[in-house]
Amino acid sequence: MRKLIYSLVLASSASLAGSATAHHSFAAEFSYEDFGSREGEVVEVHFVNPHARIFLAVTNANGEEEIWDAQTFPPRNLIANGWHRDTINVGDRITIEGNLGLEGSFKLWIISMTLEDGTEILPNGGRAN
Amino acid sequence: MNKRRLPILALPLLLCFSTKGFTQLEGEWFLTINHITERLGIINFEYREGELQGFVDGGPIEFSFDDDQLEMVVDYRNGGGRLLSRTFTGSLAGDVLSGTLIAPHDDTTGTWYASRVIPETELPPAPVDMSGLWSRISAGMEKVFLDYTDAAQAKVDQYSYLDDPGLRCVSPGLIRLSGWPYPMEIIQNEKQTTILYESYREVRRVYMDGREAPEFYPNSAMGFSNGHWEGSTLVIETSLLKSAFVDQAGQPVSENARVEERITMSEDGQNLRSKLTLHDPENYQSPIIRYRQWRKTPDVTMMEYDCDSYPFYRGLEMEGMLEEFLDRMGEQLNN
Repeated sequence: MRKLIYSLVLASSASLAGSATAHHSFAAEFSYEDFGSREGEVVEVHFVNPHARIFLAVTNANGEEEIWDAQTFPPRNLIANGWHRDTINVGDRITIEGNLGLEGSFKLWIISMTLEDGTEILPNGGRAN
Repeated sequence: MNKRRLPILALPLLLCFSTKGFTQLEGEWFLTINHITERLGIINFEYREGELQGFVDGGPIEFSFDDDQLEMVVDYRNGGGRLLSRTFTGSLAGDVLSGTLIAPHDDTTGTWYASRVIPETELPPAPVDMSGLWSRISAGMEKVFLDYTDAAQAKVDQYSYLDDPGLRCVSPGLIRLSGWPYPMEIIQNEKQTTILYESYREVRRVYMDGREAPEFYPNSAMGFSNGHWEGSTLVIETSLLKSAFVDQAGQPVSENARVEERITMSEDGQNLRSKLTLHDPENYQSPIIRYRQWRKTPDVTMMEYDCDSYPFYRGLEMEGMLEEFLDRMGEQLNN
């Protein structure tokens, strides 16, 4: 009986917690637990509000090209953390590490970016969401 | 109880209710916590249908109270929007509650203190100069679960991040924007207080001359605002808001909502504090409270809010969600 009650509490807790987190834009798009890293070529860079965004062409393990959609904080935060308008350009090869998109989507919330010359940029000081 | 969504960590406390000494808690308490940054809020214990219930900033909490020892769990979201909770333990001594708190997510700790709210006495106007550039320090307790009406609960349940206007460069409205972690500039004269927000290039004209909104004045993201002074407190009353959200979890704000902001400046002129109260009975059974705090930052330079919605739409198109987004917007416009 104790086990059954515990299971019920867990089930109801999960549904209650889900009702809020699933609706938040970050929680609806990205995992708080799963992180990944992708290296590729920048095909579009948007240094704008409300979120800066980079579209990255990545070659997967099967040799096919995937376009990854990486986003992060707005320019005010980025300038304070070493990323200004000219830091990253179309054609650059960079590595992005961050929270992975949910359900296998090709999305990243950027925690760190490493440029070709080894420069590391931490849009939020390296903190994960 | 069934109307409320409670945080995951609150559930065990349901098992340890006690009624002893509850009347000592009844009423409003002004809460100060020191956890990462100082944050302010209102605790309210009130009897509903014969049972003492607890609220923080207008949202329900679970608590236990026995032998002057209080424990309560208060949900919040962090800057990344993650749903978390803080567990408060403390004791009652006279008219003061105080103790320690822990945020189990990352084991950070803090202290808290609450004193009974004393009704404010009416004071003659004594304006102070709040002009200058201010940067936000904290946005209050960020309570997520609120005291929803059935209609509001249904809206929260149906909310999708696609509904967030901010993602497509449309202003997210007074309540969210006033808590954004970016600068604002205040310009004052006798007839008008003007607030320039960096975010979404919003401009608020707070009329100090008692004028009424013209007939057919349209609802808008920041609404129509009148201001007056009560002592050295700037009181701003706002109506004619567009439908919006309190937060990024989709808590609704109706077009008939009324917002009161009570803004005070510290004696040294370096800090501003605003108590924002949302009165929206269509959506909430208790008024919703948000405390904002800012520091004077004359050396900060305002930036233009260069916003582009193209990457948002491009991302939706790449994910195959553009049609769903357009259908959803269409349905909302038709309702």
